Amino acid sequence: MAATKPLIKNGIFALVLVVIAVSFYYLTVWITPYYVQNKFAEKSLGLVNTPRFGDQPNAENSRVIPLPNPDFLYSTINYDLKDNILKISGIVPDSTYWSISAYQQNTTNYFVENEEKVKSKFEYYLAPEGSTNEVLKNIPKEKIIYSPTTKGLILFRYLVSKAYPVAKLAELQHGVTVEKLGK
Amino acid sequence: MALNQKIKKIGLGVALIILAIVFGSAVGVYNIKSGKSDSQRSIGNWQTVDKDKDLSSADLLTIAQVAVYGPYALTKKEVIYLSTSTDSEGNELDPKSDYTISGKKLDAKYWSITAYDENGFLIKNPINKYSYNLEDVKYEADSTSYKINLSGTEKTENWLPINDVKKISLIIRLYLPSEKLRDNLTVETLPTIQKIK
Repeated sequence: MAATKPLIKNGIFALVLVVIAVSFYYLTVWITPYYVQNKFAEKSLGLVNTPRFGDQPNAENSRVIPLPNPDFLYSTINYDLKDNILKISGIVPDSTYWSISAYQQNTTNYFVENEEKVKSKFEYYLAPEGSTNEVLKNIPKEKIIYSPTTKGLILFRYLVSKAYPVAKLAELQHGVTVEKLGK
Repeated sequence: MALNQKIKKIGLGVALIILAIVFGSAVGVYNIKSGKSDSQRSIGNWQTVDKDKDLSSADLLTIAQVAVYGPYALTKKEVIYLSTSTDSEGNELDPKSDYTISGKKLDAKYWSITAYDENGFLIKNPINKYSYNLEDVKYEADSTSYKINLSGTEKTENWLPINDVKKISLIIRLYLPSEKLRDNLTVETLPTIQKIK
């Protein structure tokens, strides 16, 4: 009996080690996307709730986020909804691919609309999930984007094409505005 | 003596706990770097998200891999991404070799084929050409087929340069693909990559 006691003790300790190893495996895998998003937010020069307009990616200007599409103009809004609801508006090109997409803090996509559905102009209200803010009271449901996390990223894609060369698209791109509405 | 033994025991215990933490985290990093997950499927030499899965509902490992190697991807409803770092024979793409990428128009609102270096960035080249898409690829006489020359040396047509890189990967993007294409993503519908020399 006395001989088995240390064995049981060692066995329990070994089990604890396995649980620790497995927990840290999942913690590493889970935390990595948040780390990526935070790194990107840091590299956005501290711009929060403000649009950032990118140039057409090339081998020199696009060395932060892997796999850039060289056919696109990108714009981003690194958001934090702690103190604000955001009203995002702008103009949609009519004959080239355009999309607005939203990513939660672990970089997964939870919302996307493109030029086939949104015609001419767009206006969205970005709010934290479950928000019942007065500001949203008379806003049609389809115009509200509920973010599952307080922080995240809005990404615009504009396809450079024959109908929409860079200069023409850049005008639309730079026309996007973000209005901070009180919480 | 007894105290010494106790300290040794505690020391060993702490060392083993640290080892478990390091081991668990290292396996996590290794699995993210491996690029392999349960949410992937292969179509010939092309890799894509499994038919019944999507990036928004993928497992933690896939989400982490996408975050590191291709963050801010869209879900399959909007785009289908296919990637490869091998030719159609399954051999790793060699930046010193020449390849022909042969395919046909893909039934999508927009499609493109882009070359990336070992870090997933665009490849610096003398003609500033990084991809071909439905609008700028030069088609064959049938107006449907195309041949893209993946090479480090200059070509007269459809040259996709791969200068001074250690590794190459290719990405096909299918934006708003037709239902027919979604259901028929097969080796026959996707481009082939043949080594020329």
